[in-house]
Amino acid sequence: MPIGTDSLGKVFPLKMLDTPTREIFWQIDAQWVFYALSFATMVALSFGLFKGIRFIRGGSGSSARSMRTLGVRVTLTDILSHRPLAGEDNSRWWHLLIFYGFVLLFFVTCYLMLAHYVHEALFTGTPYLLVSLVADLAGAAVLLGALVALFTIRRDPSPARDRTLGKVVVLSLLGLVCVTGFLVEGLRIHVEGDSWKMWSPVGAFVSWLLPSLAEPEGHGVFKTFWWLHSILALGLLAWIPLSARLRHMLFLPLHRATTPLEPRSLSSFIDVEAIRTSNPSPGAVRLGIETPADTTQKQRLGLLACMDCGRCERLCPAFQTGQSLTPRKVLQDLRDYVVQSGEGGKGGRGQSLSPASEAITPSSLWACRLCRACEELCPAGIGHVSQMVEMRRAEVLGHGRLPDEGAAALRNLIRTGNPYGAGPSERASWTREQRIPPPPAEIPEKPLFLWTGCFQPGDEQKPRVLSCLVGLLKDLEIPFLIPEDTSCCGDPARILGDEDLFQALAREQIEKIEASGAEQVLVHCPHCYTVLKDVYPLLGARFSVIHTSELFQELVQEKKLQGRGFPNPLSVVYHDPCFLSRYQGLADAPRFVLEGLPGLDLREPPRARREGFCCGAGGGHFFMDLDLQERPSSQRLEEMLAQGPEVLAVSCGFCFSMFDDALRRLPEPPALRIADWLELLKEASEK
Amino acid sequence: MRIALFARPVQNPAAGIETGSTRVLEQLRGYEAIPNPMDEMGLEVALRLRDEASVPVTITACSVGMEGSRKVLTEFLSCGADEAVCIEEAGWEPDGAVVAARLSEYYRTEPADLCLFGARDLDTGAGEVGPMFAALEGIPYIDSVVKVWWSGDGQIEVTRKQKRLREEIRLELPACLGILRGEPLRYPSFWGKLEADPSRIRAISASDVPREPRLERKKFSRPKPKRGSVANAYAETRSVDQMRQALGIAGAGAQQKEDSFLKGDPQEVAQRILEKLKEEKVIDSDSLSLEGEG
Repeated sequence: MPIGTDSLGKVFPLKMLDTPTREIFWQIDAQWVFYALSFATMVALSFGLFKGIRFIRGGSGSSARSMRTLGVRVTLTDILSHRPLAGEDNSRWWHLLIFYGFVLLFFVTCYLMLAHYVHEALFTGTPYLLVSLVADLAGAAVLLGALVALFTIRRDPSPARDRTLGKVVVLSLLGLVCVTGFLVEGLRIHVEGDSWKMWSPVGAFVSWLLPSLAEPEGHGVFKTFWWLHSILALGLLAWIPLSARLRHMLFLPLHRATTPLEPRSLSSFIDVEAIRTSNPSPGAVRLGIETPADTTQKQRLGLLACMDCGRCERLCPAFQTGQSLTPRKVLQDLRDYVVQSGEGGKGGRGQSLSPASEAITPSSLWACRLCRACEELCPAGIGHVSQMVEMRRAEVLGHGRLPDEGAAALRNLIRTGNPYGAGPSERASWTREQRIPPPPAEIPEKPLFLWTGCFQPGDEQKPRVLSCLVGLLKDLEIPFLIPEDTSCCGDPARILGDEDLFQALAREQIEKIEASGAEQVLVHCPHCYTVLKDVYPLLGARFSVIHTSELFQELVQEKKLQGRGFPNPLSVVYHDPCFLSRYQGLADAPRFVLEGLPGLDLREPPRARREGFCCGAGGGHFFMDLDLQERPSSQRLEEMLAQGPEVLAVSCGFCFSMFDDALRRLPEPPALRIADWLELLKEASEK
Repeated sequence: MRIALFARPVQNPAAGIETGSTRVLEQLRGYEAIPNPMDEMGLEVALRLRDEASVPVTITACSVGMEGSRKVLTEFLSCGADEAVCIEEAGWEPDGAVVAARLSEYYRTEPADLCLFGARDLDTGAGEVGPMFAALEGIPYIDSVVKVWWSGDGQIEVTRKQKRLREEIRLELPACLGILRGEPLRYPSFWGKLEADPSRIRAISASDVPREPRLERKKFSRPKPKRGSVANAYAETRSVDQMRQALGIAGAGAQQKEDSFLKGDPQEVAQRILEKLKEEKVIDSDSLSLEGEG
């Protein structure tokens, strides 16, 4: 056999070929074994897929709107760019390497099969060279991605990083498939020789590394590694639908494609009044998630799409302050609970092994702040929060079980229409003090209905902020009216799980608002705003809702709102309330208003806008004072203080109270003023 | 086995008084009757005893007819009480001794193994109905109970606490307990609220039960307060504003005076408060003076 010498003087056998090509099953005699293994892989893959589909179909009917919404274009863009994985770490890049490498290798393999059975010309000449190059580069990409991922997992001390064996095994397996593939290629080049080996650069490099091997010995080693590579690769394929860390390849794109693009309501809507009038027996109606049968198909698809990456923990205020809640584990436990119920996860209503709330511990269930940080970071677009609310709903409506402090707040709501137990005198006194003139009889537009929300006994902040708002509206001569007898919007009841109480309160408020004749409601509280805008229409409300930041942004843009500003420079850092920035996407409007104030130096904190860190009051926690070592508000306050501001601007009464409390707990509180941005606007607008 | 819980409604103390309003207080949202908090704890005790009992237990919530009694009984049904009884009487005037008599009369028609009362009423601070009832029926009454549990057939054990005093007592049923503290009442489920139909409340006219011969009211008349006194004004009016008008102090719709913060020695502050009250004619000028004054 002719021999050749490479640039480093190494000798190798030289196979002379007229055109570039190679034998696909070179040295492999028992090809039928390969076909049998491939068939078994296809069966396993199909079985796994079938199991997954059966699991999804075992759920109750999803809302037609969510399952039919096909955000195909957005989904494709997200998948091809991996935009949802963008963040502080490098996970986007190593996953892109693995993703594109895997996809290309898959197509290359299919192409090889096609060439083998259709026409050898498909694997000859230029096509052979290109396919060889693509395969090598793709394999290198997968291997590089796996190595970087393993290195990142090992080195990252972040508590959000889960060093479970499963992740390491999957990545190692991926890497091993690539390594054995390169070894096979290198051995072929080394033993047989290949004039075109530079089109397989990695294989060529591996062949250069290998020691000299005589032909029979070389063939034997080649066959061993070929079969090893085949078994690993086919095994990996078969494992995809069965592994929590791999099946997202199948289910995540479908889940994202069926997730509504617009802001989602907190949870699936149930008409409690209709349920009440139908007089059902206990357990005959789905009130929330209690049994496996209560999980919807969409929710089950989400459970399968979860890849256990742990990104949901990075901004979770409960997890980051050492509480018992792990959003990722809640999903895994819920999925295991549904799977264990058997029959493809169907489970009859009332036949569950245990309520869903016991699979997920009560402390986890009630530790959730419903801030949606987990959903914001979830690459699969899973609705963690809606499932938490539905589990709470099942607990409260089904059994009356919730923390005592939460129950006290609900009882206050029932008795006084106010979660703090305050009577109507607080609001009535404040309303009278405002001396609001009645709107003119003839005006081109109907007056704004100013929603005040709940007053807390002894609280000075809320009346002060609302007074600023009233003052601004008067100065701008915007006609408005303040209701005398509206009570709470019902949000505390909704988030604490008493949907019945919420809808009763909501219907009452809708009646009062519509009786006033107003067509547009102006709201400042982010919680009230979310409920009035997103949920009240489901109960028949016909009025529109506008947030104060939207109104004043418009006024500033139209130059209708001008003032002297601040005579001395004032450094301000703004905290985004979760219900405004994440739920409603309103992060720019308050900033626009603040930045327009002369003399105000607006500083941006870390973890802002849609990735802001919750103050910890959400999820009913303002009413449930947990004995915690570390509070989310303390952690967040520390971040804000690092910006060196004179003022911490907020847009929510709950945030104000949480930061005020956190500030007082500091051993040496700095001279920091906490103020609503409306107060700053009013001060800057005074002539 | 039957547990009877005797409850009464009280006015919600968290609701503030709305000055300047001429509406009747009770019609304002937030001033509606609520269950006496210790009666709520009593119901929770009954519910837990029922959950832990080895025999079937029926819980009957009972209230003597007053405004809000039906509301309280409906709420107790939603939280898990099995039955509700409202003892009504036309022209009823509440009085502790008479209430105890009416309960005693009802009890003789439907006796219970365990009777629970709230040890104190939120509005009056009194807790005399339970002991009087027990005395009329000749059953033991244990006050200031903080914990109850079963102790064998027909027996219970209780812990009572009063400041630093602590006792654990075992007693045979029938018995009567005054619940001072305990677990908060469980929240009603949706199914509980559905079942709490006001039509389930059994109304009993006080005239339908045999009267307690040892205690019968022969005559009742309202006290006649002195003209110009606060009590007289309250008796004739139902709103704070009308009361102010009646007393001629900062009448209806008038601007509230600015608040003033009195600082200084406690004796001085007390003197100034007294002078202010006399000046505003809230108290009789001649009737009160501080100790040490001439």
